[in-house]
Amino acid sequence: MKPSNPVTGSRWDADRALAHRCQTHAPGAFEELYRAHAPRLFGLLCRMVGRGEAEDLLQDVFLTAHRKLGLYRGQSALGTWLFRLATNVCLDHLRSRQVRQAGLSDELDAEPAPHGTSAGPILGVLDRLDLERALSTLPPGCRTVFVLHDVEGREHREVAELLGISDGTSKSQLHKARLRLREALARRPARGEANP
Amino acid sequence: MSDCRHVHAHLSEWVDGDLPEALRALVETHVDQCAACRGLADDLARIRDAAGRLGPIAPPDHVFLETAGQLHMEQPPREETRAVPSARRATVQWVAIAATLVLVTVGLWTIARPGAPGTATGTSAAHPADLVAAELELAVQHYERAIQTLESMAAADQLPIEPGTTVTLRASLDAVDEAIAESRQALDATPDSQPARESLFDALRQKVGLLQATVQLLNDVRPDGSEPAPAAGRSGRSS
Repeated sequence: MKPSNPVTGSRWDADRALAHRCQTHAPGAFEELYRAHAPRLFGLLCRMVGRGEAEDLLQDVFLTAHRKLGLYRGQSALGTWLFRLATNVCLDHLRSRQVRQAGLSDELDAEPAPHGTSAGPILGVLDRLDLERALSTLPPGCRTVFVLHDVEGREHREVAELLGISDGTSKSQLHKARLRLREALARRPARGEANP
Repeated sequence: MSDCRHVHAHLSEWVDGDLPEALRALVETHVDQCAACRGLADDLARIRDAAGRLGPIAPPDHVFLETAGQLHMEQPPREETRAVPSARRATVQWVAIAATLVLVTVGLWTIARPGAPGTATGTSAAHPADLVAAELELAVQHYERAIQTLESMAAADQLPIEPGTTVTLRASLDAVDEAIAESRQALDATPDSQPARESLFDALRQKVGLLQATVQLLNDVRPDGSEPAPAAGRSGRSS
């Protein structure tokens, strides 16, 4: 169905046109697609699996996207379509890693959440780099939920659908992730503050 | 609900405004009276807000090159040969070089692994040592062809890079070439030495990486085969 909003419609028309140009190997089309969407997808992948693996996965995402562009019907923005594809590539990767390492589990992070009073408050400015570093220490289950919900702004319903879990599990994993992050961030002195 | 532990379980949903009305009122009443829970809720909200501000991350340039190279190799050959507009010709050449370099990188990685099976030469019945030598030779041939193409373009004054950058690139290439020569000598002296082989591959990989960076630099300054940009910065095509 064609979107009624002229601005949105125009953007989706442009997305469809770009997808078509990529399929027909038009010069520069793939680079245009890559430059427009790679940074956001790379951010998602880095936070989900770490930077090293994210480079390989980004390649997988764009190669898969190029093969599947024929399935893109323009019913959503190309960025949304790519985001979903990237999330699925990433989740498949995490599942296969779990299988290799310790057997696949349908549960996410099964460890109990840290107690809310087990860490002191976060002092000073919450630095982006500190947050990225703390995020990388989270177990994959609750990290995935945190990235999708708090970083990427997805609703619990969407997160649950993507991960094949219930809304309640998504909420509890998110809470667990935030508590773990608070614990990790409270341990380190804020940037610019002298150590005691 | 006066027990902090019960409140803690709902604090994330509370700061997100996701609690049903009755529960929300209970948590709110407690938080108003409990400094510890209020502090925890503030921190959870700060973490959520900071996460929402985390932006995109630019991937390293080589990822695009490698992806484009893989894609180039996957594409079926064109049905008809059309005249390539001159403005596009350089870009097409760079893509071809990128694809070749990816091939070489993959080839090097494959044969650098101890005991890796050879498949590219079609000599599967050969002795493993001969196979590795043949693979090595094939990879080096690909690699040298890519370098020759680059050098011929440079000789034809087609490198749209500032002179200072060119000097730096050539100095880096010379240094890597020295490392390659030393590694070759070591491998000639001890042909079965795995460390010597890995050292050679490391040096070759460094050179491939350097050439990939060069190709990316060229793509950056002349993304559509247009006139060279005045500086070797990113072209700003990202949106």
